[in-house]
Parts: sequence; structure tokens; C-alpha cells
Amino acid sequence: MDHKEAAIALRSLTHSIKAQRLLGGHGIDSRVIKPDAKKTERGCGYGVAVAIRDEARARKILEENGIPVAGL
Amino acid sequence: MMGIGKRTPPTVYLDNAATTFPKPRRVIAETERILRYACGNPGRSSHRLSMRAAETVYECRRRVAELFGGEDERVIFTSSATHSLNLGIKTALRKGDHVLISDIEHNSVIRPIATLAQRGLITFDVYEASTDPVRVLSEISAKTRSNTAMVIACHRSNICNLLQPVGAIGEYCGSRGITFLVDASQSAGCADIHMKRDGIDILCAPGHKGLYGIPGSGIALFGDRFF
Repeated sequence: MDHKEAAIALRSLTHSIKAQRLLGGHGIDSRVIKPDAKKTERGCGYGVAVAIRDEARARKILEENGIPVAGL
Repeated sequence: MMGIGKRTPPTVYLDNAATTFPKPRRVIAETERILRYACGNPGRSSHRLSMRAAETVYECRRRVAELFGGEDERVIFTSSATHSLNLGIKTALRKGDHVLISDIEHNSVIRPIATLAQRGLITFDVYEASTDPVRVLSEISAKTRSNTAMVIACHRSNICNLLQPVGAIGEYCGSRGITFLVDASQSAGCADIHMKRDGIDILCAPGHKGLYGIPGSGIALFGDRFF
């Protein structure tokens, strides 16, 4: 994975693990992270980190598969 | 018959309806693996043990949902089927509701329902359980009121092995907007259960009977009309 990552905050740890598996199935490497809680709007404090070049595609895939992004 | 040690006489175990024994070796091995290598607090931290625990919980959630035709995010882990049933009953019912329970229900259904009724919060009636869908639907429809909010069915009796036709009852309840709760304490892991196909809104089961899990485990699956 690129050293430059984008953090995508999600609503739950369950969503984060599902997202990691879903993105992996689409060829996007990611890892579950615990971003700064102050920066998340509605999240539980978990999310996934993806390479910056994959961020837009990752967000689209998550949205299309019913995993809402919590905002960051 | 099974010997469990040089100094222990062979055991003939016939109490599997209470809890299954012996547990499969893979259950014992997986329990040990988790206690040794994945025993962090899931959902509270981001260190390795916590993330392994979270992965384990999610995988269990996913498999439970897959087995019972539910959704992984609507699986709730509890300490027992009794806990699950209390959760389901008290989550779904509101003051003034009427409930139908079968005459083969376990105390874990009868007691919370009777207590809510004694407190004046709900009313309930009992229908005669049957393996025959026509007969059981005749019973249920005759006792359905305008405020009937829930039908509870013990899927398989722990006394007489009677298996109720949950698909037919679920279809009846679904067509009338009535919540259908199934106690699968004796059938989970043994009988084919599919929440969506069978119209089940709340499915309650222990983890330590037909699913061969460890004591002190239970599950409650909620349908999409909740949460």
C-alpha cells in the first residue's frame, strides 16, 4: 500500500471489517483503523485506510454496497 | 459411550436437549485459540489482540446470519436462549399489545409473558401447537385480535419433539403485520431455518445445544423491521 493513505470513517467496527473484505474483493488493499474520534461525525471511531489513489473508487464501492461513510 | 480419563468411568450422555456433550474438538481448539491469541476487547481498541477479537466476532456474526437467513448486522450475541427471548419479547412489545403463545412454550417464554400480563402491560392467549399447518393456522387465526402484535412459536418441543410449521405461521403473521418470534432452542443447528423464507422477525437460540458452542452463549437475530 502507498505510504500516503486516506482514512474513511465508518459507522461501526462491523462496517469497517465488512468494508475491508468488500474492498479486498475489488482489488483494493485496506486496513481497519481507529481514527481520531474528534474527527468523525457519526462514527464509532473506526474506519478503513486506503491508498489515496484508491479513495474515490473505494468510497463509491462502499456506497454502492450499503456501507455508509460516516464522514471525516 | 465415551471414556473421559483413566479414573473416570465411561459416560453415556443422553442430555443433549439440555446442552450438547461432548463438544467437537474443533470447538475446543477454536476456543483455546481465541483465549490465547485473540482475547482482546473487540470494538474498543486498535491493537492486534483487539482487532483479532473483532475479526472473530464479525466472522461468527456473518456465519450465524448465513446459517439462519438473517443479516450480520442484526445478530445479537447473548448469554443464553432465555436471555435472547427476554430481549426479543421486551424489545418488540408495547403496552396494550396482545400476544399469542403456543401450548408447548418453555418457561423462558411463559414467565416473561405472564409477568408482563400480571403487570397489566399486555394480554395473551395460548394456541394449541401442531405439526399440521392447517390446524395451527386455524387455532391462531381464531385467537387473533385487532391488537395482536406478536405470535410466539416454540419451533421444536423439548418435551415431545413436535415440530411446528414456522413457514406457514410466518406467512400468516407477515400478511397481518404481526411480529413472529421463534424459539429455536431445540431446532437451531438441527432443523432448516431461514428467517426471510419463513417470515421470522425474531429468532432466538442457545449457542450451546445444536450449534455445539460453549455454555453461556446465545443468539438473537432480528429482522429488518427492527433498528
